[in-house]
This record gives sequence, C-alpha cells and structure tokens, in this order.
Amino acid sequence: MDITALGEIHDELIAQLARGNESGAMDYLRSRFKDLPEEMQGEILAELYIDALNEESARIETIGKIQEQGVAALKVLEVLKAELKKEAGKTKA
Amino acid sequence: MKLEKLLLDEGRKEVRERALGRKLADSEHGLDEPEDLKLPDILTDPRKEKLFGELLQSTYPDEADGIFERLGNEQVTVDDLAKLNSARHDFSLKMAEAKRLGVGIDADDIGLMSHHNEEFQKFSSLVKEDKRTAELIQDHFYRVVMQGDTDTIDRLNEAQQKLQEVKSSKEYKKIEALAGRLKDKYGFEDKQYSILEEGYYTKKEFGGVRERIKSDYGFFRRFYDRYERIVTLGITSLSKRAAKREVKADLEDTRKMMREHFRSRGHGGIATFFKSRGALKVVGRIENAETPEGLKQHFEAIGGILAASLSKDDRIVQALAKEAQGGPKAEIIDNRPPKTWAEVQGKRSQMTEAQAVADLKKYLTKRRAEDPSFNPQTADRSSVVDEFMGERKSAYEKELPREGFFTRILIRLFGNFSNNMKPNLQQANVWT
Repeated sequence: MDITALGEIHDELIAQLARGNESGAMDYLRSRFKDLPEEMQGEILAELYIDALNEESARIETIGKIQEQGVAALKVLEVLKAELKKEAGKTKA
Repeated sequence: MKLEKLLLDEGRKEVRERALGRKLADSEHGLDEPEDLKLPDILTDPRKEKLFGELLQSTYPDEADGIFERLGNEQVTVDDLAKLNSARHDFSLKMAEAKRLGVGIDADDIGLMSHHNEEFQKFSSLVKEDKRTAELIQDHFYRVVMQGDTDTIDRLNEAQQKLQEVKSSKEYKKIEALAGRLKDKYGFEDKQYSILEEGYYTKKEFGGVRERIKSDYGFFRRFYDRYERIVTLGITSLSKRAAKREVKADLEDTRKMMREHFRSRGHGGIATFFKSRGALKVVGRIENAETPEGLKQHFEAIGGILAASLSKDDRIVQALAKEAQGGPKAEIIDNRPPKTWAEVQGKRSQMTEAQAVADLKKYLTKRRAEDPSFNPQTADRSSVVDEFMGERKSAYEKELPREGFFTRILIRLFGNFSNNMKPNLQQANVWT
C-alpha cells in the first residue's frame, strides 16, 4: 500500500468536509476506493452496510406507521360521522 | 446423564473460566458453546493466525510481539503459555461471535441493501460481485470482534435487532406473503419481479402519463379533451386513450415475459391470460402496500376530508399529517455543523512520513525530559514506536467530531497509516 496515497485521501476528505461538501467527500472516497487496502475497503463497506440496515428498518417502520395512522384517521372519521348524524337527528326532531 | 460426565463438564468449565479470568455466560458453555479451537488449529490457518495475532495485540499490546517471537523460536515461557491459553479460549468465543454477526450477510443481502440504499450501492458496485462484497464485510466483522471494537459491534447488533423487529411487523409479513404468492402460485422468481413491476401502473403513475400528454395539447385539443370527458362522464377522453396506448406499449415487455413464462409451464392461452392478470393484481397490491408515498397521499386525502368538511378543529389531523410526512431516516453522513470540520483543517498533512518522523523526534525529546533514564539509543524501538503511535492516534481522534461516518473512516485511515509507518519509524534517523 502506498502511504502517500493514504495521506492524499485523508487530506482531500478533510478539505471537502471543511467546505461542508459531504457529498463531494463521499464521491471522492468512492473515486479512490480501489487505491485503499482491502481491509479498509471492507471497513467502508461494513460502515455503509450498517447504515443501510438502519435505513431499511426505518423504511419498513415508516410504512407500518403510515398504515396505522391511516387506520387511526379512518376511525376518527367514523366517530365524527356518527356525531354529525346524531346532530342531524336532533335538528330534525 | 452419567455423574462422571457431569463432573467432567464442570471441571472443563472451571478450566475455561480460569484461563479467561472471568465467569462464562450460559451461551458460552453447554449446548450452545462455540467450538474450542486448539493452538495448532489456529496457527496452521493463515486467516485465523492473522486474527489471533490481532486479538493478542489488543489484549497484550506491549507483549504480543515478544510472545510470537518466542513462540516462533520455541522459547516460550510459562507466562507466555498462560497468556496464549487465555487468548485461545477468548479467540474461540470471539470467532463464534464474529460468525453470528456475519450470519445473514450474503450476496442476496448485499443485493437487497444496494437496491434500497443509494450510498451503499455506489460503493458495493465498485466490487465486482456481491459475494465478494459480503466477504469483505464479514472479514471486517472478524477483525472488529478481535480488536474488541465494541462501538461497531453494538451498532451492528442494534441495527440487526431493529431490522428483525420491523421484519416481524404485520405490514412486512403481508408484503412477504404477497411476494410468496407470486412465487408459489405463479412460479415467478425474485429476479423477475422488476419486470413484473414495470407492468403495473398505479393510478398515480397513469395520471402522471396523462398529465404529461395533456401538457403538449394546444387550446382546441385541450378543449375537446375536457368536452369529451364531461359528455362521457369521465369514461373516456382524448388524453385517457392516448395514455392507455402509451402504457400498453410500455407493458408489452412484461406481457411477453409473462406469456413465455406461463406457456413454458404448459398453460394454454386462456389460462395464461387469467394467470397474467392475477399475477399483475398481486404486483399491484405489493406496489401499493410498499410505496409509502401512495399510502401517505391516501392518508392525507382522508385528513383533508376531515379538516374541510367534518371538523373545525383540525389539530388531530394536523398532528397525524405531520407524523405522516416521513418517518425517521438513517443518516450516512454526520450532519454536525461544518464549523466542526473546519476546525479539523489543521489536521491536514499529518499523514506524511516527514510529519510522523518530526513528531517522533519531539516525542523522544519529551520522553527524555520526563525520564532522564530513558535512552532512545538503547530503547526497544518497536515498543517506543507503538506507544508513540498510540498517543498520536488518540490525540488525533480527539480533534475530530465525536461521531459520524467520516469520523470513523478518518480514524481507520489514520490507523492504517500508522501501521504502515511503524517499520519506517523504527529505521528513521532520530534515535541517536
């Protein structure tokens, strides 16, 4: 492994991050991925894999939540409809 | 069970606990206990030997190199043997832990994660095969466990546990059941799903096609389209027919694939027609269930009705709608203010050989000032460099934002650089 390449990658990542350009840092890391030792490639993939796992959980959880909320809203709708009917009944009477 | 066997097992447990210097958990002894690896098993397998070396380094940082050297020269001491024995027991447990962490990370998993996560996909696509990506990740977990990196282990455990929890949710099971029906009833493989999916247009997607077509109309066509729609009570219109034609052309690939699929399974024309329709219906149900966007709109529409016509107090609706705007989303990138990273700017150029040598020179001067008996010329260079690099690394870590993807990556880069630099520093012209 070329030590100079490690230094270059490190410095450029910090430069991008210091500018607030996180997506640029990610693109740069991707462009130099093959220059990194296999161990580091594994580390990067594992980090992203853990993030992907979390995102996948959040995605499935969101679907469930929205469904639950949809059901809750329907229940509210039913109650309000019943209330309106009652009101209408009273007015007629 | 015979009494002797019980006593033997009890004795074995005591031996293991004595070697480890701690009590064994229930999962570490008994039916679920991991395979007890012997030293020759470890040292004759290059991968295990490397991992064992990492474990020994993290457990006995100052002595590991010496123990290995004496082991190679067949000059091990009783103390070395005790340490090797303890490390061997620990190694067996950690190998089992690493295996457990790596379970489920296979090529299919990588494919699924790549499909759902753009950032992960960008990187995994750089590796030729998903299988290789899975191996690289698993190898990393082995090292993480051996190095005792509890932070990463905890994060992975947490993520896996969370995923299991949500996978056991009702909604997920429903989608799973529908996907299972596509396979069991209609004989489709997972890989064919993306083609099937293209063959199903949700109402929203169809509406989008129609709107696009309409946007190209001039005044008269737009007028006629509207007129026809009113006269036919929405049954047909110029744009609706054009959208249907476009969708039909789009569906041709899917229909062709389905025709071939059902014919190859020996179905006739009529059965193929009905089976295709049935399969597309299932796809529709999956698509509608799996698309949070569609569900969100459905919910918001109900909320709209509530707010507009039934209730003047829309607080409930607002609260529900707010929650429905989106669930939690895992962030890949640490979103601390850029100011924090701007402060790290000064850490640039630290990872050069010249800088590391200059820092080592300062470190040796400091050591001499602190301890007059310290003599760099006679000191064990390997140990001194290890201590120096350890101090330098922890000082570096303190300068970075505490958490986040890039913090972790930069620390790894620094660690990798340090390991590569060690031999050069031992040879550097600063010891005399």
